[in-house]
Amino acid sequence: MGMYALPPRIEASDGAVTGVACPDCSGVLGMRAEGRDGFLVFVCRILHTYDVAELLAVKEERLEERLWCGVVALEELAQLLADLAAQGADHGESAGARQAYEKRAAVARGRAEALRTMINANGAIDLTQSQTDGRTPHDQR
Amino acid sequence: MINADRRPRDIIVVGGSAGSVVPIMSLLESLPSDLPAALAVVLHRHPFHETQLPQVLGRRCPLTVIEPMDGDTVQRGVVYVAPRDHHMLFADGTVRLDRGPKQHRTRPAIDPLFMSASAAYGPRVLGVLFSGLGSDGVSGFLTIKAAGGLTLVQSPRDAQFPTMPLRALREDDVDGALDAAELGDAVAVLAAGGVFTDAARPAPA
Repeated sequence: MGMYALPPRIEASDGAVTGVACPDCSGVLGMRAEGRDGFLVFVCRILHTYDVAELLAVKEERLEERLWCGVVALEELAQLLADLAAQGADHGESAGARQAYEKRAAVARGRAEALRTMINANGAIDLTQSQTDGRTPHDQR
Repeated sequence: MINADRRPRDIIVVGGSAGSVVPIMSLLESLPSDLPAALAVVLHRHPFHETQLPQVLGRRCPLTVIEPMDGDTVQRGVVYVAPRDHHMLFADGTVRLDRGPKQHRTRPAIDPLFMSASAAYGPRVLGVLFSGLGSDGVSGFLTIKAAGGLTLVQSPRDAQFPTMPLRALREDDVDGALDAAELGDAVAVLAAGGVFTDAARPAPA
């Protein structure tokens, strides 16, 4: 069973089901070709409706939101571990346990920073940039 | 030659996005005060900010320009402007407003107006698509035409952002591409069931 994003064949009349989710409601996204030039329209069960450019744009927005969720998760975890390391002595944690918390906090902080830097630079999500010049932002530095 | 079969096109649905306020104003101000048609206008607009759009559009328009209430009876001589954050639809002789799913990332969107008008009024519908980016209105145009209605676009060379008119022209047999200054005349003629001939580009004999 092969997964796909766009179906291999799109019947103009009745459309087809895509292999990607609606970016606004996570429902199944269908598609059809309209007009004499095969204008592609994506529609979910709810009737959220997109053309190709809009679908890409909303998918990019959702990706950015989810990447920020990753930053929040890492920063929360880093802070929790740092607080546990700092306050551990009051709650009977050994010096070794507190050191282990501090180490894990440092790793989480590092990854949060790396992810934040990546999102700030827009390198992970600016599809238009890599489409126009074929290079990643990293190559341009 | 547009409307050779002389049907009255008395349900006029208008869509516009970036760069369309000024040409839509010029359409509205050139309409006759006794236009025998109802007009509905969807302009892509900000979902939160109140912008007094009907007052702006209606400043020099001889017809009544309003944001309708949900359920208002459709009346001739009235221009209905979709309120912010609502789709505007025609159903059962009334104007309906709802907060249905965004289409083309926007609400109000042009396609729901065009499609509902087409479902309710079929060949009586005249769709007009103005300047804008993106493709809202293209599916609606296909629906209007398939139901026997007519479609006009602001000519791409006259539009500040010609993407929307160009996509409509690419996907369908649009009945005419006219400059904003000519669209008022065309709408008035077609609403009354007349034949419109583009003076600048007469139909081939």
